Amino acid sequence: MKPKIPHALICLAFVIFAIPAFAQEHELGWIPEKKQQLVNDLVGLLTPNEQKKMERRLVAFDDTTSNQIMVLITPDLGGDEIASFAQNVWKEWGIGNAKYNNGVLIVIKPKTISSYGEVRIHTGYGLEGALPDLFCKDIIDEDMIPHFREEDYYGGIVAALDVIEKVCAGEYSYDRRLEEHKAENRNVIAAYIIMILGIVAFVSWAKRYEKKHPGAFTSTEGPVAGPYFGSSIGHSRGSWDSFSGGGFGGGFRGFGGGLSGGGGASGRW
Amino acid sequence: MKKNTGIIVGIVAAVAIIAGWFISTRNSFVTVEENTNGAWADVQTAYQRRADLVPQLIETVKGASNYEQGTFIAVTEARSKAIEMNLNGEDITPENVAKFQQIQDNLKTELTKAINVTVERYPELTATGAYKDLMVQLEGTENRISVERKKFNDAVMAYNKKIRMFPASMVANMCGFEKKGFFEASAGAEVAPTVSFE
Repeated sequence: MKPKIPHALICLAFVIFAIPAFAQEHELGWIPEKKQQLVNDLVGLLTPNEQKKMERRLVAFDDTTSNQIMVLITPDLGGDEIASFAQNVWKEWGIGNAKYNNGVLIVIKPKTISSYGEVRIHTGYGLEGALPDLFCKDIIDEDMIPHFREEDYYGGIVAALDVIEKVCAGEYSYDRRLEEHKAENRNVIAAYIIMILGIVAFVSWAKRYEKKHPGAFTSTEGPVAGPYFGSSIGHSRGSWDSFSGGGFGGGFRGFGGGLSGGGGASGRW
Repeated sequence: MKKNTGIIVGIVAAVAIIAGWFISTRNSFVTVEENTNGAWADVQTAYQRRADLVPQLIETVKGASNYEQGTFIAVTEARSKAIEMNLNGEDITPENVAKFQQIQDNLKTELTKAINVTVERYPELTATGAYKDLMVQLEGTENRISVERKKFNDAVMAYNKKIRMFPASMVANMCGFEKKGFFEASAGAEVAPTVSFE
């Protein structure tokens, strides 16, 4: 009986040590976990100094123009095509602000012994005019890949940023749907006011009724009105919290929830 | 008399609560319906981009010395059928969306064929800048189509779910909010063919 336990332990140890070897390739549909920073080097191709310098530059660009450019260097694409990988990352992270959708995502998957290097410039709706697909393709072919071929990842990204920042500065797009939503919200508010008036009238009627007929409502009135108002107060407090979550100071103020329609271009080397 | 006023106030209050619920429910339908309409407009724009690539392809190939008239009849026809079908928000029924998808898939098939023909007959063209540009635009277009289709499907799912949930579904029935269609995964393109064992 005794030797059985060590056997089991050895098996367990094998399983545990085997996991990292499989985990290197991420599972299908994997995307990186969201972080509040614009330069995300998951491979470690950039030195800490280069990362800091690039982050500062992109934060400054975000502060002055509100355009958010995010750089993502990833070990793999979760088994997906680079365009749809970029789209999925975008959906999760929300690059650019929600009003102008003025974000850009640069995804780089470095070349390995067994796979191509892949790069994509993915644009938000608001920057499709400033950065048409063909233009993105030019940046990739002429400014990025020549550097990447010589393993100069920092130089390639900086060359691309030089061009992208130049064309994006001052480019905005107006989202017509925002206006439409405002109009509908007014209707909803009107409906709520009618409803609340009804509830107030009902409660006051019930109180009067209660005065005349003691005991008719005491058991129901409290629990009915209580949770309703309680929950609505809690709800509004919650949305206030998310407003103040941005934080202050010189750092990155956070992603704005912009949208992308899948614009941009990709390249390989 | 006083007793009667109390009852009347109570009835009025109850009616107001129901009316408020009805209006707010109906308005929330309008909002999600507008979302699907907006998403549909984006879908059509994305497909329009693909249709616009057909004349561009023909223009590119026309420059070749051995260009033959009539090479691209099939794709031109597929294109004119595709741009003919324009659906408004209220027409996004399951049948119409299925038809739209079929016509658009046909255009995609014909366009792919036309590009293959181009590569076979005019191989010298594939080295030109115009052809490379066309390929970049084609790739960008296909990406946009898949993104907008997905967004539209999500919007329709949200809408369909909302109008079918009881008790809000009563309001939907009364006000004529109907189920909308969405894109199925294309046969052959995104899905591996299923084998029938019959």
